[in-house]
Amino acid sequence: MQHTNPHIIIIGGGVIGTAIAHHLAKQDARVTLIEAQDLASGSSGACDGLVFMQSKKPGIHLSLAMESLKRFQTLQRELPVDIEFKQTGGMVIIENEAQCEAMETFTQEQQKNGLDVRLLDRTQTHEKEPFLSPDILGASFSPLDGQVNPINLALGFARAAQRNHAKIITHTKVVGIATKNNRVTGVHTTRGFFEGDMVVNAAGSMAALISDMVGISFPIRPRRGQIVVTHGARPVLKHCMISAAYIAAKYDPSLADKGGEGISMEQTDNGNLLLGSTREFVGFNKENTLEGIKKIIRQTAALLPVLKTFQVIRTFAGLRPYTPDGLPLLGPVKSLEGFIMAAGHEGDGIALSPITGELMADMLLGHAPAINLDAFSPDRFENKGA
Amino acid sequence: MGHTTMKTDTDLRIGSVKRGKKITLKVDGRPVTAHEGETVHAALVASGIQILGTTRKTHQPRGILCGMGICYQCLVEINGVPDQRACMTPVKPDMDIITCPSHEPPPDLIVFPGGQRRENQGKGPK
Amino acid sequence: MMLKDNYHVIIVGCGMAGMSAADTLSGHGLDVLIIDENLHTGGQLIRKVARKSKLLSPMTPDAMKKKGFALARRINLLTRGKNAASDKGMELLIKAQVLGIFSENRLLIQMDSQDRGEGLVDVQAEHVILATGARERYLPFKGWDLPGVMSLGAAQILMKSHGVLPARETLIAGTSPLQMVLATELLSNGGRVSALLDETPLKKKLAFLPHIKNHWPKLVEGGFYMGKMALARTPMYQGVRIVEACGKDGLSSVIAAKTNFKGDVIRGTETTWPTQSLAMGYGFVPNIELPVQAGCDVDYDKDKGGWVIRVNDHLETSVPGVYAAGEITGIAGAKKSHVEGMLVGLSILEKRGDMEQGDIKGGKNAFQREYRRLIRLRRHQMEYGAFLNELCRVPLSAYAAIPDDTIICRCEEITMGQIRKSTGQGFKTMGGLKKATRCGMGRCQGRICGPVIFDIISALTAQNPGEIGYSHCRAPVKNVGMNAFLNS
Repeated sequence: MQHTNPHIIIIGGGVIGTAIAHHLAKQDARVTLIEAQDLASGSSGACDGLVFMQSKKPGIHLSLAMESLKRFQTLQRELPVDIEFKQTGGMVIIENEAQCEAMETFTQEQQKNGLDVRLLDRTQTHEKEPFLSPDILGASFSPLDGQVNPINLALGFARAAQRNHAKIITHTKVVGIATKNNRVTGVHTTRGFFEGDMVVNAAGSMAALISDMVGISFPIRPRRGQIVVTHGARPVLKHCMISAAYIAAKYDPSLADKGGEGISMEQTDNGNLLLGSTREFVGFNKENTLEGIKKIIRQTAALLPVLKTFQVIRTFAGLRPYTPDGLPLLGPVKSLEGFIMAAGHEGDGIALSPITGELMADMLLGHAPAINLDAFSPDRFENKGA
Repeated sequence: MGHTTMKTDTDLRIGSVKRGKKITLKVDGRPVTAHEGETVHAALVASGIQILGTTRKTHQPRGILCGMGICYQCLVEINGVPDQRACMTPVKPDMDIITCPSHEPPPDLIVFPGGQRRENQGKGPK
Repeated sequence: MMLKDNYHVIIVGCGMAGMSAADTLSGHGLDVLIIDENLHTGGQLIRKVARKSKLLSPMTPDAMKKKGFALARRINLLTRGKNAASDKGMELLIKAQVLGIFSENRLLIQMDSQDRGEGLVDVQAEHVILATGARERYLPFKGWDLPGVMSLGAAQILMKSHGVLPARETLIAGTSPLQMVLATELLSNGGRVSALLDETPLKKKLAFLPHIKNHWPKLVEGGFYMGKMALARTPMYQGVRIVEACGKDGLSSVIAAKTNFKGDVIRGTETTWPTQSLAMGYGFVPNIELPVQAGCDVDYDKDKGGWVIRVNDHLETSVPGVYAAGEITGIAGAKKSHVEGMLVGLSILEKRGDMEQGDIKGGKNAFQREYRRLIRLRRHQMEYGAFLNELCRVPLSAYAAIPDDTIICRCEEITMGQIRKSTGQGFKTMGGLKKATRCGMGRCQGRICGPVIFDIISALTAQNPGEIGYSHCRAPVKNVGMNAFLNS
């Protein structure tokens, strides 16, 4: 690094941007976070709160998630906002024989990765979740899975960063990135120019628009996920859960187009059930569709019949930053010095934010990150287009 | 039922108004007179019942606020169906109304280990 | 009731604006569907007493109400027996709520909100008229969540629609012109009025006299009510604010205090009024949730009652084919709603080309004359609305002064203290504050606390309305049982 104390500008006030700001500020770095709207107003404020290990691909992806998980307990104590982290344990619901076979292989590989996960038969599943449909076959279960309040998580990171003198500037839109001799020198915004030695692109589903500003094209695409919210009720779910179809769809987008996206369910601290989701490529459209809402309700109620007594009070939709290989882009961009990517987590941003923040901060400050991030290098996509 | 409902002896119906047919409702197990054309809320108020529910977090008693289907403060259980707005629901003969319903999920949807489900006993939605 | 798949026009809300629009559209061979969530047509203005009685004579309707009753009769007549999906003409669907408007003007309707057995339908319309009306505005005080504390509207509905007193005795407070009407109705029907505590000081009222112009009949009406109450020896005070509603499990008394010229409470002037119920209101806010869900643009105008739907001279919103009429384009009372209902009806007839069929005597020119007349009337009523809204307005300082232990969001039980703290931490927008505190995330989706929180943020931060924003709405805009989706 040329500067002993570089000024680092982070674009994006979601969980990823605020996590990086938090870890940088903790190490006394000079950091300014710029957010176009409110904190957590993008994907981080429009998603479920699953911190799910079982949905991660065995390998580096799962390892990263497991490291991230360890940080959540500390964050619950460390951050000045209650992030409502609960290690409830999680289930992947198995509905048919084919899924059963697939999940056997999937969980075996995860076990090799060191994940505490096991298969439950129908009786064991109902012992844990008595409201689940009698028609299910079973589930895979990991005591490690949990949930968090993603909005509070982003707010918590941001407030902690502010305490350590990070500047958090909201309602300010980045309109251009200044470069000189092939290195970044700052960002132009709707509130003027901010000089910086490094610019971190943590703009989530908008990240490709930011990198386009410097003529670098990355295949990060917004993928819409709709969520249905019920009224706050007494507990009917102890664990957070997804269906085995969700895992299949996540790693094979062609399945999603056939309406086989699977579902996710969690009951928040407040008692609301968050029911998801869809995976749709519709540009930056964040509307809820009648078809999407109906599909989610039909599929979740089939697995959790008690939902018939619940009322829907609202819906929302968020854009997940999709990448073709399901892995985020973390690290410097070769062709422009000082321009660093930290985006493309799709549905894993919440779960991966603590470790992403820590590793990215280390990398930015010139320390060797505790986990090798080569597999996430943006180079694998640079200028290959979407 | 968390709170006991307040009762007054006098009916709050204005005497001179001509009303629909007299019917009987069951409110928290007790008979309450109502007239066709009234809402559940009007019938309850007329017999002196102000407390319709309790809040979920601090268990504070709540009654009607807006009277026009907007505030959701008047939710009662009607014929086994929870969370019905008293202000928007017309009375029907023999309606079974529970004020201050518990926020517990219905036990008839619990699956016991082994997969049997307790049969739905005619209460609640099917 | 079976619905058609497609309608020429769907009208959401059968109050003054919706009825007037339906009336204007009738007789043109159009398939029109009118939807209302209430048990009867007529909206909030003409809450009708099912059967007349002598003692209810103070409820004798004024000119506008007479018009309303006549329209309601006409709508009921026009739609009677029109149940079959094959019938041409006008259909009326009551006890039904519109949960959302999706692309290509597809409306998701819950047929009978009382019966979960009936499912949802979605129907498509070439033109949608949104006439969703208004609700009351509140100034929260400690204990406003006690049973027995209700809106003036709730008390009026009990009296007018059901002939039921809210309680043996009722205290009336706030700034709304409904106060006097309700007091008179209570007194004439065997109820007692513990007191009428008008928040608006006499000085403010007098300052408005020059602006009243041709609206002086309203003044006469007010005088009539005042006289009635004086005769009944009802304690009446002006420039008095409710400080607290007290009681255990139900209201037993109300504490009120005088306000100074700036509108702040004068300490030491607190008086306790024993009472069994409290009816209060502080003016009105437009019900913009459904139009916002549909994607209609909004504007903030305090003279119009806050965030209102943006319309052009044809009352078309920013969403093509979606029109807005009545209180949602600006709070101004029944007459403006009536005028806008007619106006929106004409706009749609003109757009469809149905005016050529000689329906208005004198053809196109007569149509243009009528159109211009309505535009003029509308502007005139807007002026009256501005006066009404200003008269009902509570000084912003009253919102900043709400004590920290007062509940603001009743659904999620969020207090003023939590809101003040988060605002201080920089959450100064409707969206930001919602995320930080959960206010407005409950069952009512911010319909009750939203306008209150807007005023609180304005008072605490002095930002402009555009910066503070408004609550975004998603379908379903009203709570709906999952079963309804599963059965459809």
